[in-house]
Amino acid sequence: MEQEIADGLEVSFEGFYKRLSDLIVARADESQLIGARFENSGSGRIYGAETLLRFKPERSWLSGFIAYTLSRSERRNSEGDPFTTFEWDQTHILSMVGSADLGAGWTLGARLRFVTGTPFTPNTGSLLDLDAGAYAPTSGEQYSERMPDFHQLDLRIEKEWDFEAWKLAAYLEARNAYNHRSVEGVSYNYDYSERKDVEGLPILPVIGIRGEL
Amino acid sequence: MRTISMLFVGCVLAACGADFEPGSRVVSPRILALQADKPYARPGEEVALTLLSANPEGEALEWAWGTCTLPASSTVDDCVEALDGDLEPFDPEADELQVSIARDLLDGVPAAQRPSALVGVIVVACPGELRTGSTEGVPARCVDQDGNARSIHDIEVGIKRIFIRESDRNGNPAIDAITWDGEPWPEDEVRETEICAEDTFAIDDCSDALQRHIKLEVPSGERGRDEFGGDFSEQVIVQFYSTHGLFRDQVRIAEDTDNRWVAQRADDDARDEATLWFIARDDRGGTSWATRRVRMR
Repeated sequence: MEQEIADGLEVSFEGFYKRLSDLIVARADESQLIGARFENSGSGRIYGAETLLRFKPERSWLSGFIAYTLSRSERRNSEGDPFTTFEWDQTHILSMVGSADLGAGWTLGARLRFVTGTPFTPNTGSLLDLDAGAYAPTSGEQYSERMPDFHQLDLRIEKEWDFEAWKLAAYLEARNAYNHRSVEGVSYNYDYSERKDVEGLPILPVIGIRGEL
Repeated sequence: MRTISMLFVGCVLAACGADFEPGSRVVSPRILALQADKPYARPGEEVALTLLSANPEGEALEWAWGTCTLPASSTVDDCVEALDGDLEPFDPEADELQVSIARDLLDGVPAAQRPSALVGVIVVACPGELRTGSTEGVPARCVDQDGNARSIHDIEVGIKRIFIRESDRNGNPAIDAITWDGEPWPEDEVRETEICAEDTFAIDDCSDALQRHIKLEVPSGERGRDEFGGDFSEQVIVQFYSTHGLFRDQVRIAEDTDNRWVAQRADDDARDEATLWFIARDDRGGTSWATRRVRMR
C-alpha cells in the first residue's frame, strides 16, 4: 500500500508472511553412532510489517526516509512442536536517512540505524574432556538470551566539484559517530566460567575521494 | 560513466579479542589429567587410573567418581546421562581408582558399534562438601561451609574414556626428556628465573631475557592397523600448565614442542615457587605427564 500524503511526502506499508518447510533438523537417536539422526521435518515462519515514510519534495534542499520493520522469525523441529524464536530474529529494525543539499556542491548526510539484538543460546558451564584436555560447554535454554540492541549513527559531509569532462567529490564520514560499542557476539574463557562481549568497531573516520568521468 | 574512488580509513582502536586469563594458568582447583594404565582395555581386565590435579591455594576439596558403561556416544553429556550408579566419594591421596571391565561387556554390542564401545569415568572435585543431587545437569551437588550450593563454575567435572577392544592395545605416550634453555632439566632440579613485572597475557610484553626456552622430547604417535582393519596414525600433543606465568603456546605437537615461559606473580602472592606441568596426550585416550618446579626471583 502506497500513498502520497503531502507534496514530496510518501508513505508505504507492506505486510509479509513466509512459510518455510523441509528444513533439516537433528533428532536425538541413541541407536546411531553419533547419537543423532537428521530429518527434513523442520518448518518455520517469518512474518511482520514494514512501513516507509519518504520525504523528497521537488525543490527542497532536504530529503530522506524513515523505514521501520516489525518482524518475527520462528522455527520448529516438527509439526507437533511449538514455534520458538529463531537465531536471526530481529524484532525491530529502524532506519532513518537524511540528506541536506547545502549549496555550492556541499552535501550533508546522516543515517541512524536501530536493530533489536538477535537471540543466542548461552553456555551455562562446562565439563572437562580429559582425553582432549579441553572443556566442553553445557548449553542453557535454546535462544534464551539476546544480544544487546544495535544502534549506530553515521554522518557524512561531501563537496563536489564539476569540471567540463568529469566530476570530483571528496567526503568525510564519521561512522558510528557517537561511538556506541555494539555487541557483535560473546566469547568465553577456557572453561566457560567467564563471558565477555565482543564489541564492534568504535567511531571510524573515513576520508574518500571519488572521480566520475 | 566511470567512477574511481579512494578511501582513507582512520585508525581503528578496537581490540578484537576479549582478554581472559589463559587456560594454562592454574589458579584454582583443577583436574589436569586422568591416566588409565590401559587406555584400550579388553573385557575382563582391570584398569587402574591415576589422577593429576592441582590445588594451588590448598582449598579443602571433596572428590567423587563414577562410571558409565557403553554410553550412547562418546560425548561427555551422554556419559553423564548413563551413569552406572551414584558417584562414590574417594580420596585421591589414598585411594586407587580401579575399573573392572565385565567379561561379557562386548557380547551384546553390534559389530558396527564396537569401535565406539567404551567405559567412561567421571571424576568430580568439589571445593566444599559433596551432597547427593545435581547441579545444572551434572550429577553432583557441592555446598560451601554455610551450606550454600556452589555454582557449576566452581565444580570440576571431568570425563575419561576407556575404550573396550577385543585385542587392540594403546600405550600411554612418553615424555623422554625436558630441557630448560637448552640444558637437561631432570625432575628433582628446581630452576631459577627472574619475574616479569608486566601485568600482561602477552608473553612478548616481557623481554626476551626473561623468556625461558622449554622443550620436551616426546616420541611421535603410534601407527598401525586396528582390529577392525582400519589404519590409524596417532597424533601426540603436549599441553602446558603452570601455577604462575605465561607460556607462549598452551599446546604444541610432539614433533615440535619448543615453547617459552615467563614467570609472573601477582603483588599479593607471596609464593616464590611455580609448578609447571607438561601433559602429553595421544588421540586414542593415552596420556602421561611430567612436573617441574621453578624458583621465581
